[in-house]
Amino acid sequence: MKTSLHSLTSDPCCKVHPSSLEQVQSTAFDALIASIGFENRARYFCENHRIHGTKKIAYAFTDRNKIGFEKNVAFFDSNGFTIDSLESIDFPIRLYQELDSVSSAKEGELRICIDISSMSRTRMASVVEVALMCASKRTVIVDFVYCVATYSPPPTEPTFIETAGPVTPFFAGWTTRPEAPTCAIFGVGYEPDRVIGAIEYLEPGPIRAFVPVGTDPRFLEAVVDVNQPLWDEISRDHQTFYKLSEPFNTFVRLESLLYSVKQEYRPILVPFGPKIFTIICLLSAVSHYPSVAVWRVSGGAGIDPVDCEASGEVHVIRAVFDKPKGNDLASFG
Amino acid sequence: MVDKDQAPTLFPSFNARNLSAADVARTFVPSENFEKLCGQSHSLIVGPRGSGKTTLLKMLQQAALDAWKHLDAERIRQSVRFTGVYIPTDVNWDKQIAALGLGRVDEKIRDCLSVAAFTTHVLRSFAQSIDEAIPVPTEQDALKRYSEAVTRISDEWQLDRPARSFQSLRYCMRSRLNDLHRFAGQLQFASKEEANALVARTGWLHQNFLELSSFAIDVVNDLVGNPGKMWAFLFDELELVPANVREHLIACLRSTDQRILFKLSLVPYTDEMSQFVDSMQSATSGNDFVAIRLYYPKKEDASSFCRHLWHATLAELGQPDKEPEAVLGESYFQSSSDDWSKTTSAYGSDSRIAERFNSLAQKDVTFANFLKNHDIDPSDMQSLDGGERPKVVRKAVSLVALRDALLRSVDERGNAKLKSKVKPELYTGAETLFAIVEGNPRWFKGLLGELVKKHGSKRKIDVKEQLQQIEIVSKRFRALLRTIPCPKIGRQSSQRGILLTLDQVGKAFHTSQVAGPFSLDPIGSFTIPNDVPADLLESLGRAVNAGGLIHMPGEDPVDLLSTLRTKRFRLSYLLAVHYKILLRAERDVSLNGLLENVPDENKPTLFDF
Repeated sequence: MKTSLHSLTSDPCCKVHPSSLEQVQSTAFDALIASIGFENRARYFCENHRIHGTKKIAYAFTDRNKIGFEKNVAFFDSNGFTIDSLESIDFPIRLYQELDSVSSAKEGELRICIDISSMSRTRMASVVEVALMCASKRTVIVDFVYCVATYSPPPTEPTFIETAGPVTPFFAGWTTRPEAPTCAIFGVGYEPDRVIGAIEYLEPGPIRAFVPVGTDPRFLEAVVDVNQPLWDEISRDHQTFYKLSEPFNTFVRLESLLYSVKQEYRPILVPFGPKIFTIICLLSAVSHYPSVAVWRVSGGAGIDPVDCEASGEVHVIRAVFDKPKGNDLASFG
Repeated sequence: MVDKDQAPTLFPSFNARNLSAADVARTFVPSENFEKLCGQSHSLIVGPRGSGKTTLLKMLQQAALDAWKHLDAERIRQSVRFTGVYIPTDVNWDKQIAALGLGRVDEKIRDCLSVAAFTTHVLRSFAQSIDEAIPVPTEQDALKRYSEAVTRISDEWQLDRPARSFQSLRYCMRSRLNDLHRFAGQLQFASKEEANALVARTGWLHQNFLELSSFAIDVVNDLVGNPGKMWAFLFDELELVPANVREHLIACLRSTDQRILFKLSLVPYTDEMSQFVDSMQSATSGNDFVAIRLYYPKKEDASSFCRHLWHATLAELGQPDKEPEAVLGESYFQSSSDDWSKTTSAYGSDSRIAERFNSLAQKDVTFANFLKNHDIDPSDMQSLDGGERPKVVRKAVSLVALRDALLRSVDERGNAKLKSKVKPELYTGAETLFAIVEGNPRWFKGLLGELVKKHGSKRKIDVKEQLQQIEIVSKRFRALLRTIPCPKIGRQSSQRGILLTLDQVGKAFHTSQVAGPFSLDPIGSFTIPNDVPADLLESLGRAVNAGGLIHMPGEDPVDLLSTLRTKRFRLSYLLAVHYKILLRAERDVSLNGLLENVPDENKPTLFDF
């Protein structure tokens, strides 16, 4: 094989649990993972909360050296983090190698804390895949931490869609009924026309929307405002308002929805908006593997970066990855 | 925003892809194109999104034809001499096929896996069509023959266990899709050599759908006692199939098995178009090849189909059947029926046309000069006979109507001042709405279907209500186009959406037709030059496939788009309404000329009324 990665299997095993900042603060993690991008929010969690990590790594983006990037580098550099600047394509291999080395040096389960606040959706998907790979050797418990951003007005101009497809090949999903209609489940954000553009691109059958509700009411107002044409598309029954502060509750609601729609449709999750919803989508897709796809629809490199400051709210969701129920190649052929 | 409890109302919900064969049949309105498609010929349907490709192909399924109730249904059913095998695809399935092996297997293996997925999908659809066409017999001997036929096919298709009915054959192919995914995932555990060996010895990965279908046709035709029975493979939305699978299919299209017809649907533009056409033409021994374009360069070509759709829509919604003009009024650009009743000519001195000529001449110095130069008196146009003048007047009618509606004044140098308020009736009326929807059934439902749903057909629908619905649909369409990326042009510093480029074109057309000196021959279409950059070409291609640009082909019925270079296009009339231009193609210029002076992106570029 081209890489030394242990590969994913057909039956990944992942269970999701509620978690909290208090639980995270009282846990000794084998690895604490952060990201370094342009958002000042990237360092908020590690700067303001004392988290124990035997190994501390901050993965930097190579293409986002603007706004708060230098401050983020300086902070992580002076606080015991190993800084690894790398292209996203190399991220899963490097992360796997790091976690595998941590895993080899200890007995029992592997405990990881990851701040996803400034992480790209692709890297978040890679984190889940790597956790599944590591779980082939031992149980991996991951706390996904999300720092809510302060309010900033939505962009005024709609942007084009440069990338539309599965967030990674693993999350493309699979079906034995290609003729069944697609059901698109959107996490709604506040990029104008983005969801409508994605609907036109996907041409789904039924559409469902998860609408984020934060502490600051301006978020919801903005989300509602910039998505005006969308509300004509989705009946009220098919809109789910989820609280950023209750990620486990959101996971349960999404998972239940998936159970019902996948009987008749091919579900695609398209998470716009807060990153916490993306991780919820990824974990839900693993739970329903391989019948649920997770897509990334993004504007690509043409989009100007906009800073995000952390509001102080921190929310956590936990996933336990266990040894998969793999299949033997001998059963084929 | 959350007060609506109604079902989705705009474009995606009208997509035939998500409807059953019976549901498609329930509201199906036949057209000349459908009758062509029903013929015993290989067919290629090309059209932008929403143009009805899926509907036409789905209607060729046995279940749809059986369920169809229409005055012409029986006659058309009788003319269909084949059993249709509908093979759908979509962008989701395309990405899933492409992701087999999770990007971690060799390209050769990945290609093998994706072709195997496609083959399995085709065979599963074929098994379903056979199952629908041939009921399980009840008589013992017949049942035995039926069961043996299925067993022979399942052996040839290399199933682990023989299927006993065509229904179970279908389920077996579903299981095979599952096996394929698991196999692809597990291949990652293997070394390159192991993976190659495993793939090589897994026979069903290397099957050819055409050979297996041909075998099944032998068996099934024998079973039904009709050796020449024809089967049509209906491949929908082929542009969404992975490229290597398309190559495989193009090769299969060269089949000369006369019991097999291929009927394919594609978007208007793909650089593989000529390969599809060549393959199908080379396979036509005994069977003709028909190309069907589901876009209408001239609005008149779609008018009759739209009228049929109108009456079908009224019937479907339980509304009184009325002529569209009785509900929507006449088009602003048409000569009024009153004009004809007053005089024998629509150009009489008190006609609407004469009034507009007079009105425009009073505020547009360039038009007044034009009339003078052509020796035309607006008050005496009906007496013009012979020579060029009547032709000039006829040609000017729509342009004069548009300028009169939009202009406040134009000075001698052609400096135009626009009215701040536009008459709402400018783009309303039956023929105008029909032109705006471009013969696209999904747009028709989004615009006219919604109008009838909201207002019924008992009374005339107010022009403001018509305009409001046009704006809803137009806004939605512009949102779609905005999501298509376009490379930077001119002095722009960054990549933008293709809509800004189309806006630039629309603005140039508007300037030529309205906001400048009067010209009888303004610009209203463009030709893409040979030297257009490849990335801009790609964006334009996507706009064509989305229905934002309409190809203006020559007379050749198979003038399909293998390239956009040197081809002529107009803007979709749904966009034309936004730009306030004529709903007709007008003279063409090079696209380069239209985009040469793209302003800096910091300056306002959007055409805003």
